[in-house]
Amino acid sequence: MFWQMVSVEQKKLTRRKILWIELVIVAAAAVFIPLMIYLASQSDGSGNLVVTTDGPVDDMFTWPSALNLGIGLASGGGLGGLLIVILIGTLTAQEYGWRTMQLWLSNGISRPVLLLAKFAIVLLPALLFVLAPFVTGALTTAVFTQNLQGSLPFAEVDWWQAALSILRTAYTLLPYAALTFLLAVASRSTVVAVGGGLAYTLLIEGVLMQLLGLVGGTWAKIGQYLPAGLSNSLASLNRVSSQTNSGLVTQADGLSMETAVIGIALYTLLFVGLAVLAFRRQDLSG
Amino acid sequence: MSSIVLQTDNLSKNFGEVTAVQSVNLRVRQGEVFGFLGPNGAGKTTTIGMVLGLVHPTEGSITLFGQPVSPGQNRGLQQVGSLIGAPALVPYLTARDNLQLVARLHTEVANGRIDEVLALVGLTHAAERKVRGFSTGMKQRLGLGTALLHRPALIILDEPTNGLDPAGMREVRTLIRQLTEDGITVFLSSHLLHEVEQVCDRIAVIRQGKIVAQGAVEELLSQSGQSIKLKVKNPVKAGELLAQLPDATKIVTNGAYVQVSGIESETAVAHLTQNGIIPSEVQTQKSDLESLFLELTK
Repeated sequence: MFWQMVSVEQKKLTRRKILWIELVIVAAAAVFIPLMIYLASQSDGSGNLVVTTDGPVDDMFTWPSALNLGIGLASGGGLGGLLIVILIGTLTAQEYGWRTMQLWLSNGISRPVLLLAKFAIVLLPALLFVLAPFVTGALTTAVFTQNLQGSLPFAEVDWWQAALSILRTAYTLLPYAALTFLLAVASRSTVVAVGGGLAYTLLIEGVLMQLLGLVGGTWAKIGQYLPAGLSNSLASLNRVSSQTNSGLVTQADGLSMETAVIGIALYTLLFVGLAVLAFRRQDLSG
Repeated sequence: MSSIVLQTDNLSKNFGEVTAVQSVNLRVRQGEVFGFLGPNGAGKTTTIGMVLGLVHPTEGSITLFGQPVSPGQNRGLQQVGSLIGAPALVPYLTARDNLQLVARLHTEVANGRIDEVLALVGLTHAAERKVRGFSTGMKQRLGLGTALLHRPALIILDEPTNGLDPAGMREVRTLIRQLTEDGITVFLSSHLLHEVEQVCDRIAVIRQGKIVAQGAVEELLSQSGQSIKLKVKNPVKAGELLAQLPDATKIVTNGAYVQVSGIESETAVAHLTQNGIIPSEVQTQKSDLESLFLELTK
């Protein structure tokens, strides 16, 4: 029944306009940002265009470094995190209003299976939210690279690392999706789920990390274990260039990859587990 | 005797201090149309919610086709179709898509079944239209379609004719009869007593969370007895005389008529005649479901 329910969720998700609108937003951002940087870099400040062919700014809109831009845009603490919160909050809480939760349950789907299938399908938009800006960002910056360098440096791109970076970034979206999922199930309200998820992503987590950083010592280290800290640690491993010291590539300066992966998994499991517990206790009549 | 498909034993539900359902024992037999009646807030929807594993019972048990059912154990519901209150539909999908979603949960549903169901509920013309643009009646029909799609052995309907016009209501009644001819058991909760009387074999009446009557419609109506309406010259005096009879109840005078329950017409006429009042007209009125319902739920 799990896979049957996943197939139901997949159909519902892919037919929702909000998914495609959000994908257009994140994909457009990956076009717009390098375009703005490119235009700014071509200007001498007096409104005249000046063409440069190298320098650190160029790395932001030319291959291979610029390929990181789209991926970074979609991270948990970035635009991707906000969009996944809005999507998951809306998708999950609205089902209570439509009473479709009751429909699936009264067809003999067990409560844990229903909820796990609903969360499993989150993997799809998480991946799409990273893939879409990567592709549009890559295409846009390919034009600038071709324009400035005369060719595309395919040999300098580590496609395997690029794929891993996409997966890592999609993975960083999961705790935010899971937290919103929990809020949607516990409150049965779109406003609470989306509002709570956004408040955490945009405000609470940032303030908490800053406060812990100010206190310093062990407290500052605790901040690294919040979803944003774990996401940053994981994102710092992202690179697309075959030259390890080129461009925007940074080495992991936070937690180890293993710690970050396990931490994110634990947050996700905790929030989804709490959502399942809350759902199992709910009365859904009326 | 037919086998029991749905059984509830001592089923109770409290919401905090409020007791919504108290010790409900229902027996629904295979192939029958079972009516579940009660005024608003009597506990009908909560009872149905518990039967469908949507509401946690505070006490008691539910058995569907011999399998226990609860919110944590609802596999037995795969043989059940239901339409409870407003139909549960995905508004941004078409009627066909909504049926396809339910079909994905039931591997036994054949490809042509969706068209068959759309025709059955009269929505073939609207199959490719999005549900958000449907009228209440169309949504109700589609909800009925989702309930029937997988050919359930038991169908639970809560106010299935809500939003339907008289022709639609008649179609639903015909459909319910058709379902029982195919061996499907129907559990029907409705406010429309005329509808219930026309289609149900047995009924249960719930009031303030308790079952106050359960049995075959004919049996309950005969137990409820009949009333006698007599046209007399002095109805007030006739009423006083009838009140002297030990079993006479509910004596009402209305214009030239006096109405009495609990006694045979012969007894009433003999008693009045002996006391100098000769009725010019005697009518025997059999109790209908509406009067039985009002009597049981007042």
